[in-house]
Amino acid sequence: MKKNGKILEVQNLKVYFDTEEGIVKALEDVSFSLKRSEILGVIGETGSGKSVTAYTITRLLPQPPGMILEGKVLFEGEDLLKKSENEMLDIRGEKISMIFQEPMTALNPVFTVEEQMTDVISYHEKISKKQAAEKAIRALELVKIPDPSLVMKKYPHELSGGMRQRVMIALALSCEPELLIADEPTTALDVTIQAQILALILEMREKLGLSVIMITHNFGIVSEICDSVAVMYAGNIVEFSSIYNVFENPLHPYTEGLLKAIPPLDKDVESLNVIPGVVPNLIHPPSGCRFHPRCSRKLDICEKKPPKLVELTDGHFVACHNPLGGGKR
Amino acid sequence: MRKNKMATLGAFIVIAIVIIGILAPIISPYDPNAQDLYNSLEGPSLKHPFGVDLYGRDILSRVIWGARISLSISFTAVLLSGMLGIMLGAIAGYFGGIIDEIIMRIFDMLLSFPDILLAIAIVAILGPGKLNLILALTIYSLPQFARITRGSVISEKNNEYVDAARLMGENDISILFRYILPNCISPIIVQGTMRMATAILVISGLGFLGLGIQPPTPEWGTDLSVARTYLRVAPHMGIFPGLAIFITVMGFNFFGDGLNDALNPRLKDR
Amino acid sequence: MNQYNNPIIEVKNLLKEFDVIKGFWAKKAKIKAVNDVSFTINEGEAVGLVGESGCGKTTTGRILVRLMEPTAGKIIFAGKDISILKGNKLKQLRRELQMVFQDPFSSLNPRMTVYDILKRPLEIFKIAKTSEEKKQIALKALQDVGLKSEHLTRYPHEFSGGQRQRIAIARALILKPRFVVLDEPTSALDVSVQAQILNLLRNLRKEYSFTYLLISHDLSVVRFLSDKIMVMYMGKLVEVAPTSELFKEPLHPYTKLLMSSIPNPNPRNRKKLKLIEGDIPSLLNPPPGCFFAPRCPLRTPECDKTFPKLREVKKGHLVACFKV
Repeated sequence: MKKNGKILEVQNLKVYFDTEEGIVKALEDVSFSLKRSEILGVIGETGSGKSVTAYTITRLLPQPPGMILEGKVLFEGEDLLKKSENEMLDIRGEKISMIFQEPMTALNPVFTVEEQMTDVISYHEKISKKQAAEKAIRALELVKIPDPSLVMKKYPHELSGGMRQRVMIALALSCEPELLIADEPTTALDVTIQAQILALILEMREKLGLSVIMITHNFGIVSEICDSVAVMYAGNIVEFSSIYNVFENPLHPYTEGLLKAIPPLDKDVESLNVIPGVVPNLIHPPSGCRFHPRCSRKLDICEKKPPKLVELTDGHFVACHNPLGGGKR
Repeated sequence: MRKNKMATLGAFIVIAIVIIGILAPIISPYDPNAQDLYNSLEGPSLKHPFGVDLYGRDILSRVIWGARISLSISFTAVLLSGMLGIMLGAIAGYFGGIIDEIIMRIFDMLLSFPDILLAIAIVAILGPGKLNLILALTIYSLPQFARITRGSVISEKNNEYVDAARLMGENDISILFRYILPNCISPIIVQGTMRMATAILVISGLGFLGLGIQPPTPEWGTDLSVARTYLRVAPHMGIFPGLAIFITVMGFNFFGDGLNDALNPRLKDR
Repeated sequence: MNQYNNPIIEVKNLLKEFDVIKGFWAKKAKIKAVNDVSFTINEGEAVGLVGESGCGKTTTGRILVRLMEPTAGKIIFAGKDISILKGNKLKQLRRELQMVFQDPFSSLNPRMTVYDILKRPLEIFKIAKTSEEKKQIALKALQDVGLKSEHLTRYPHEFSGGQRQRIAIARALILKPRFVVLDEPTSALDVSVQAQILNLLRNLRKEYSFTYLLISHDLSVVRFLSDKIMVMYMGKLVEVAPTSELFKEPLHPYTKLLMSSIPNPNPRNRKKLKLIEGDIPSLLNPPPGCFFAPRCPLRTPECDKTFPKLREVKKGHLVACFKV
């Protein structure tokens, strides 16, 4: 295994959903990659496909109604989409872990923290119950839970939202995975608690060399903890690069529009930049570039041909026929 | 989908039986009470497709007229208990507190009787007859309507549109009837359809026990009970009224299930 | 600094208690969701109320528009005590006090068309006589929030979240109220849509000249839409200051924690996120002294004894902390 190589490469992922109203074209052509020990932010609004991407990578996507039509998910060089369900059971938890927005739905309400954690640990490792419990306590200490032995005996509903999310993270990290996928892990939490969870994720990366995919709709979170960011819109990645490139030199009009739509914290402004219109319906998405009906830089070609995600400058990928600054800096 | 087909089948059966009931005087081939003692207990034939009974009465005609009786009684009872039950349930759910306690405890008492026993008890006290049967069925269905209405009112009233209505100066009556109840209507309609099925079953049950519609009025349950004695010699006497009960009840149940799926706002909205 | 000096709402020692059931044997306990809160809002002023979930900000807003009754305390609206109004007097008050709710999916009656929703208040308060007049007023309100006349006959489920929030705003403003509570009006919306609604609210404030209390957990939204900010923690006001001053110089340690916790969308300005232990205490058994003391870096023994009073440390800047 090479260090600092790519741990995950997602190539041309295409995922549709078969629903009663019609075929939802949830992911059209999603490609990105993640280096070892890197934190990648996947940012997008409702319906952009960011969660579907996460569920496809971990193969937790319910099929049907989901259909993975094309693409590869190369994890350490192996295509996860070709693995059997049994192989995936070993990979999940041991190599890839996932945490969710609402920890209450991922924790089982009728078991104590201890029972759930030792259960997961002893599934993946052949160790005694006592050793598993010790390992669980170490995982809880790692995520800075005060009195871990006390928390071990508690049921999920006896913990506060922040504590539950910490337990979730401890559970996800207890088998020392290499990749953590966090699906809006702080959306249900208050800002002061959110700051603690973000700090925790950063510390886990430092200590364990963890690679993280952080799914969020909050640009603040991305800029605080991520190294690179993939911006998603209506089932496509429209821009992908380091956070400095994306935040300071956005090439896609959507990225630029979103960044300017956030009310600033450090200065007074008269009005905010607005992206007109609404997110499109993915059963009948717009032709060509799916952003064209809302775009101020629309060309004729945008209606006809979907743009490909290409590397315009070094390490800066964008899917746009008419990128900002002509794509040159 | 399979579920959809069942709902369509249910709707078809319900509509067919309603039409049969309404058109009974026109479509029934004979007077259901006309006796022909010479041909007593005769089996199905071209002249009498369902055969004739002990008194030589045409069973097809009796089954057709039976639909009219069963449907009219159960519909009246469901309508009455629906109106009263919705009203009481809505008041209990909306105002809560002591009013809710009183109304619902009374209904809890009614619900603690095993299903048909309550109807039997009421008819036993009041005596048999069409009007008493309607009354018994109304009381019997009342708690169900009240409960389901109360439940949906309680969940609806926590919506912010109710607060918004109050801020617009709407009074309680208007909020309850203009805003909350229209949003509770789907489970109530489903309940109503299901109640029709149970009511028909109870009417036949009471008829079978001799507590329902009295002979010679054609009624499926009553006829079934008479047929019991002659089941070996004239099975057709029991089969056809029995089938009528079975198909009708099944039709209403399928239809109710289908409505439930179709009206479920969670499946429709968003 | 403050050009507003004619109080429209004065809140005095507001208290709201809720009964909660504790444990298996249903022991009843009381929590103080709003705990001895006093403040003044001047006519024309835009005031933000920030705090984390469960801090009592929504309860405060609901009491102000009389959707809830306070357990104790007074609300003086335009010189009159409205905390005890009932019946017809309360109904007449409704014209002047309105609210925009957080969830645009539950705040519109799914069985009413947009026109029905907008028309009802006009009927209740007999504002328009003919149906033509009603239609004109409803249409004007709809256009003011950026929707079109063809939207009048549609049902709420035909609109997106942002459009629904526009309808809710039109409904709140159609009676030309003097005071409006905006309860997290954009927290259910996506960033690009949020910006549309925030701009709209800012423009409507000029056009309709109403006073409002904006409730939010998002400091950037509050900064954009308010002149003055009140910070609430566990049912108590801990700091009140003009917006620019609060952002320049937050004084209460909780406000500082809040400010330092907001992720900043500028990667060159990263915070040193600190991994501190500790959680928000439960309202069921609040700390004996200052509620923030268990998490506070400036804690002294004094802080564990009494809750500090809100006092003016600078003109217009009030703080409830012994250490400032």
